[in-house]
Amino acid sequence: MKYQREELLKALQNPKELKRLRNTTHHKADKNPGDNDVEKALADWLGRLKLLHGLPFNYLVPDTKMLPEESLRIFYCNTLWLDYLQEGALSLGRSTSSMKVHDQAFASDLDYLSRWGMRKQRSKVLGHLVHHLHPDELKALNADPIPVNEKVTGFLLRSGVVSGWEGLQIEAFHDKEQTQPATLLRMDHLGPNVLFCMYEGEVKSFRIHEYPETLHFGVDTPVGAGNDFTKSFRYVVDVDGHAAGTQVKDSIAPPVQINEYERQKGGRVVKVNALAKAMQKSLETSISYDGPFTAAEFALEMVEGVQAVNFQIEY
Amino acid sequence: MNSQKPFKLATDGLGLIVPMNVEALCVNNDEVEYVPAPYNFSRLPNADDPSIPNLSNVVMTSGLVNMQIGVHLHWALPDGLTKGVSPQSSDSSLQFPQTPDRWLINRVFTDISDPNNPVNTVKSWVIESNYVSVEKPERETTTVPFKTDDDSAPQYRYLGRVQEFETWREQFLAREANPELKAADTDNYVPGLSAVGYGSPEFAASYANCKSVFGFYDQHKDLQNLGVDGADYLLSYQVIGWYHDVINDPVTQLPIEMAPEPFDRLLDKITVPADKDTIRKYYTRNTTDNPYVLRPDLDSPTRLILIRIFTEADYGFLTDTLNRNAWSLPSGTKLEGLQVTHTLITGTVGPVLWNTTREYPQMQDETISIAIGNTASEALSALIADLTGNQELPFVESILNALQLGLLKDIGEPDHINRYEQLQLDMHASSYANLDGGGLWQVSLIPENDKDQGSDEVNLPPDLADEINNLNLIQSDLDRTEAEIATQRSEIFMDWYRFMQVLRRGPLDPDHNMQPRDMAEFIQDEIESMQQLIQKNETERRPDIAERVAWIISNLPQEYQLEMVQGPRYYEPEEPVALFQGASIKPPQRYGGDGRYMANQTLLCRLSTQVITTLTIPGNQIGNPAVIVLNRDNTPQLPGDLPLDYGNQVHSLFTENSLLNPTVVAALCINNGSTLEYSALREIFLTNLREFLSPSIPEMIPNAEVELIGNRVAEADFKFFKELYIPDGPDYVLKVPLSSLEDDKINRLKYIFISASMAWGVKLPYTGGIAPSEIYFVKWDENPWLPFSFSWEISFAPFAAIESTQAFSASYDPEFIIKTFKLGDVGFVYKGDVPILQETQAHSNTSFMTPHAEQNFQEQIKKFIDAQKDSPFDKELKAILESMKDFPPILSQSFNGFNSDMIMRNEVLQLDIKDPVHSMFSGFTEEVRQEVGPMTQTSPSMGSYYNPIRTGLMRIDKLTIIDAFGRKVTIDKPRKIIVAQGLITEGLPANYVYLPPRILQPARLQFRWLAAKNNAIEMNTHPATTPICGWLLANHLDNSLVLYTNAGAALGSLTVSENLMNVIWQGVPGGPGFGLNLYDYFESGPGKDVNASFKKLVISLFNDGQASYLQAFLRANDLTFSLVQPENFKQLGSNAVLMGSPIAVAQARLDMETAGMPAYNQSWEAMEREVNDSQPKTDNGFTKVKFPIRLGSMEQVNDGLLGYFKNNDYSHYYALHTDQPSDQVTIPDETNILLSLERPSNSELVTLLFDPRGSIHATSGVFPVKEINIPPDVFADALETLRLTFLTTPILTNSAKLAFPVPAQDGGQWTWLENDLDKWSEASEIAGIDDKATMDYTTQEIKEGWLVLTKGTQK
Repeated sequence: MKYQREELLKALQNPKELKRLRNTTHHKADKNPGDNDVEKALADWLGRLKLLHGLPFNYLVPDTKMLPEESLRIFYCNTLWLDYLQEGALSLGRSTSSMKVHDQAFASDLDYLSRWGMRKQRSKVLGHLVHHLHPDELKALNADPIPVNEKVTGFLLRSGVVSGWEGLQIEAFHDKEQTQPATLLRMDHLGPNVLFCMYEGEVKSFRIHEYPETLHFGVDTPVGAGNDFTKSFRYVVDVDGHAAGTQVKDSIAPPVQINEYERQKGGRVVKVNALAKAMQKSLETSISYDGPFTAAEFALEMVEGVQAVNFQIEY
Repeated sequence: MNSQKPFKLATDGLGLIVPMNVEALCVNNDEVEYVPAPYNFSRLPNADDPSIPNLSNVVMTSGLVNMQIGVHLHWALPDGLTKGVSPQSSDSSLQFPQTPDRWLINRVFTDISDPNNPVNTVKSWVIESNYVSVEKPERETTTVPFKTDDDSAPQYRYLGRVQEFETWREQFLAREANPELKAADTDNYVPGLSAVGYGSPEFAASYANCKSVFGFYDQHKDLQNLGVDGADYLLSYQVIGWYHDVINDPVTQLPIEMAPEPFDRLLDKITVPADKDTIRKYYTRNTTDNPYVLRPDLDSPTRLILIRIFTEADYGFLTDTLNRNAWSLPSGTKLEGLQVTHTLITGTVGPVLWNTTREYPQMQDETISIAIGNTASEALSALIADLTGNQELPFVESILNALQLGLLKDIGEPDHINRYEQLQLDMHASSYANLDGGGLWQVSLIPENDKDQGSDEVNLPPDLADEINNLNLIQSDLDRTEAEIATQRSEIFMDWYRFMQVLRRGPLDPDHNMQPRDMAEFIQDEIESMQQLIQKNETERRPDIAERVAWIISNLPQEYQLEMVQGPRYYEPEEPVALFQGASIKPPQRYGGDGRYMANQTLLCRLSTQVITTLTIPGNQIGNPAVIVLNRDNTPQLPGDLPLDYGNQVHSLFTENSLLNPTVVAALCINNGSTLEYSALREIFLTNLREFLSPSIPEMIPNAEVELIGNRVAEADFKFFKELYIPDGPDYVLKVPLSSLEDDKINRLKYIFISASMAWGVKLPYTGGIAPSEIYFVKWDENPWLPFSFSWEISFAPFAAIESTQAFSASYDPEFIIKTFKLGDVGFVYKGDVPILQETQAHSNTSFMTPHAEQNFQEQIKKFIDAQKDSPFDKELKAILESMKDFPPILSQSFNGFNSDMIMRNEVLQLDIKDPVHSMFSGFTEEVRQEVGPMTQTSPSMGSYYNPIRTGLMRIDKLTIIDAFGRKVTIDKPRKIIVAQGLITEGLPANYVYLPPRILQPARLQFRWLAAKNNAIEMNTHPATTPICGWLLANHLDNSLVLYTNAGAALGSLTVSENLMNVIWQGVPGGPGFGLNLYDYFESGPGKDVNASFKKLVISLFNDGQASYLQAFLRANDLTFSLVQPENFKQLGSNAVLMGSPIAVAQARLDMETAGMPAYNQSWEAMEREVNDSQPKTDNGFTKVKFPIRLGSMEQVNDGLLGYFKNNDYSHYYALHTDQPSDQVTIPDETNILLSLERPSNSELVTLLFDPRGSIHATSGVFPVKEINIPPDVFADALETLRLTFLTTPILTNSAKLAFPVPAQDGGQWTWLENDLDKWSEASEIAGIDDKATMDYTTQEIKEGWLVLTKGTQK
């Protein structure tokens, strides 16, 4: 009921004592900051800070030459500097040594809060989409933060791809074999061509690709000189162990020359009927396909898959 | 006068029937001893008694008396008639309402000795309360002082006369028939009578005081004539009072003041112009806003004229009467157009069982528990804590105290860790009464303009500040001398009191060596010196004040006003309070409890048309074959008609009482054919009556009856009814269970049912009117116990004894307090265990009991438990509740007169200053009378002990509770006394009370801010008088201190060098004085105009560059700041976070003073020295006793004080806390600041360093803790404009354009300041920047400089 002045003063100079006093007389720091509005706000703020939100770009890239156009820069966050960043922010309100003692006493609580906040940023950005996450990823997101400092790695990408490929996708992995997906902490467009990604832990490889569900017909762009677009064939049915949909080698079925079916030379509009017929004929000759060749089979041949680029990182 | 015929109030019209309480005491043993009336004025001397001084101690009675055998009645006047009023707008004294002066006492004796034919016999008497006689009347009455011009005539009269009804009627009629006789008789009556009689609050409340005035003695011999000796006499009494002179009647009372609007409305209604003028003549007002006040002391004819005019203008006399007295009428009574002409006040008691052989039990003391505390609430807490057994629940007493002080809900909050301290503080403060401390002038915005413009926008002319202050200085001189004059008047009276004793050499006079002539000269000298003070006040100070006030008002901007507010108050310690608890103690509710049956706390009255006239008993209900109808014709009759215009109404009241009185009506039923036994019948009527007076609340009421209720009662009441009862088919049903209805709601429902005559449980219906209030009926079971006054005898062992016999030789050791006590959290604690002191003083007194409305504790705790579900005190509170089941009633009473007795003053009734014996001193006495005026509250008590500082051990030797009839319960050497925490100390023996030091006369601790500009003046509300000298901003993390002027302009900084050896001074970066050394800076540089005290402070801290002082200073503040958690820290803007915590530097003055002159020693010896040896009056050195004052409070987290300097000496810092004291920085010891009450004062000037968001406490032990703070609007501006400079190195930024992130600031602006070797770069703006990738920043560069935050406009 009554605080003794001596006891209080002693505590205010000794982090351990302060913590003991607080734990005996006050509520304990909540395991889940979500239950406490103040801690929630603090965790949120610290989480964003540690994910470098608001950090001037020129502090990240001291000279624009260090991130030229069409470049990718991979980085590794120094956790000590991240702590300094947090310390700098927290030190503003401190004016007496006892406040410092107080912060020291609760440093581990603050660390916990900031890491909790870092994770929550992702689900906050995703909003309701979080429900569509892969169960594994969801599990990783909701897991409690690891109690010790952990590594944060990431990359800066400055490229036309960033703006050109709408819905650009990046998957990062803790291994080169791309079997252990890494948890994404932040992915932001810092500018029209600049993409900034941060991951929990060490990322060993990542893959950049288009948005996977983009369904479209596509043809192969001409390689080298000449302006001819081509299209390779796919098996329509199982043939000699080649599953339907797999690629027919160009040597068995030479790619169809698309330009030959243009309505108007160079007009880039194809006579679909003629093309379909030609394809049916070619398949008949090359792999002896004699089944129907309806719109379905045509689509199978024409649908284009997504592009992907893989990076492997050697630290 | 106008030409109409003389106005006579319409009579026989309408009476207002007001109920009152009547109690009866049977005395059949004339050996039992009773306490007599306190004064016997028949001892007053006249011109023929030169040996008796005309002083109050002559008329005071002592000892005990016997009471005559018979039945004694005493009635309690309705509360409305016992309360004095004074007009709010003038300072005229209390006016008490007139009481009825004629009383009809009707006794019905029901003789049931023949069970088949019981007989009701009536006998009546009339009391004339205002009858006075020189001769002692046949029946015992009381004596009163009587003013007469004839000094040789008796100076007293006997008051009151009892006559048998027939005798009185005859004489009355004879007088009425013969105007000469009537005129001759007028002198035998005093014109008015009030509840306080000759000026004593207990006059009407104690039977011994007002026998035959408000009491009646039914004589043994009369009773014997009734002739049923040996058996119980069944007696019923009814008392009916009226006003002989209608001018005194409550319903004709003119309003003593009227607000302007109703007054104008009244004038509009008056048609005769002359009447308007008359009204304007007698109702006047000082200023246009004030109400109109009736001129006091108007004679009867004038009043009658005014009443006539008011009546003709339809003035609501009835409404006025009801409101003034807190009386009400049955719901639905139409007041419009009613002209009530008179008041009848009536009460009954019965059946009184009178029997000469019966044993009337006496009060016993065994079951009474006694608790003592500083206040009634403290004592109550202690009592309850004692009941709960406090081993298991150690905080019960504190919790209950907190509950009573309204602090409990906060005490468990973690954010309010200071609540426990607050509780101690509040408890300590509640043991003081505060008194007017004089006036304080201040300017303020006129409220209407407050909304339109910010209060900080307007600048007052600067010279006004000084003027206001000068005005306040003169005002405080005036107030101080006025208080002195008041105490001097009282001293003169007490000196004259002793002079009279010497002059008359009366039996009370001890041996002495003074000559009356010398004494008179001495007193005349006193008068002369007092006259000088008065003269100076009247001819100099008052005109001076008036002139200054006029000047200030004429120079004030029009949106401002000059007003006078309450100055710092004086404090006077309360006397300890005793609490009595026992099953046999019933707190009497006959005074102050009139409203107890009504939800709106009023007394339910009736009109004379609402009196019950008939009782109808249907056939076969009570063994009666036929219907019995009882009314005025077949009930007991008065011995004759009452020769009054409204005599008929009095008879109706008598009839009503017969009908409602079970004792009487049971006999009547047998007479009218009932075959039941008398006792059975009486029981039936008792139940019937009970249900009639207090109808039970039905769960269900048929619609038809609800409709009746709706027709009969007022709209608001019916609305209330329908909130509780809801329609359900053919009935209305009660919405909530009956058990959960609050008392107030039940009372209001009962009022509605009574008003609608809906008494469902009444089988034998009373008709013709409405049930009277329960107050009207007193059911007599046994002799009542009506505690009324309290006398105490205690032994007191003072820690420092000043015997009256050592008037001049002994005096207080000035170190007495600091040697004996240490200052605890709020009060003094005895050092070590208290000793058991052998030498004791005896003190005693008697005081009038003021009924204390005991709060219903169970209710309060239950409510608290319900409201605070998770209270940490649940367990305790529930235990308390449990232990309070069947809690016996409690009476509380303070030891009135205790404090006065300890400074040798006697609080008793004082006689007018007069000497009926003619002598050479007659003129002198008359002079004294004129000089003393009303200051005759206390007389000197020469034989008492002198303890102006009350501290010691108290033991209660004897407590006596006395009842209204003079019976008493004496508790001799109480076996166990429960003592509250506040009166206990380490090692206190059981049954002793520890009285910590208190200054017994009103005194105060002054703790006032001084204006920074000129510390001879005190801070007032003028903005120019800010007390803040400057600001310090400490960075405890890098050992530096930034200095600001009080307007917020930066001066520079002091930093401890890295090797901790030196202090580095640096002028403000970018400022003109950058680079100057400290001395030059403040002597001739930019700092030369800085506040002198602040300058001294800075130079002292610099300490010639030696770091030890600054380092210790910073270290101490760093620690202390940790404990400062001001409550209003959130009120200030976000800057506070950035700056950390600015420390304000301000000066204040501490002083201690008594109100008026010290309470001097009143012993004979002291006076002898004064008169014979021309010695000054002695206070035995108590004004030289030093009291320690502690500033700041580490326990109160709201306290902002870090430390202080004394007397403008800045070489030593008194820090509230430090773990590394040094030569120059120490924690002040307890005696660091010592003050005494001595004049001229030895005040102390302190320079305080504090967090302005907190307050500063001054703890003195003998006064409530004094808390001062600086209003935020005084310092907020300066704080907002503090120019903050942050050394920022290094920083990475675009070399072309300065851009880096800075904190968001409301209204503030960040700039960047650099020093390029020889010049300061202009502070340039900083562009905002964020994490967006803009590729235009290359190249970047690293800079060093200062971030500067400027907020608001720099002054």
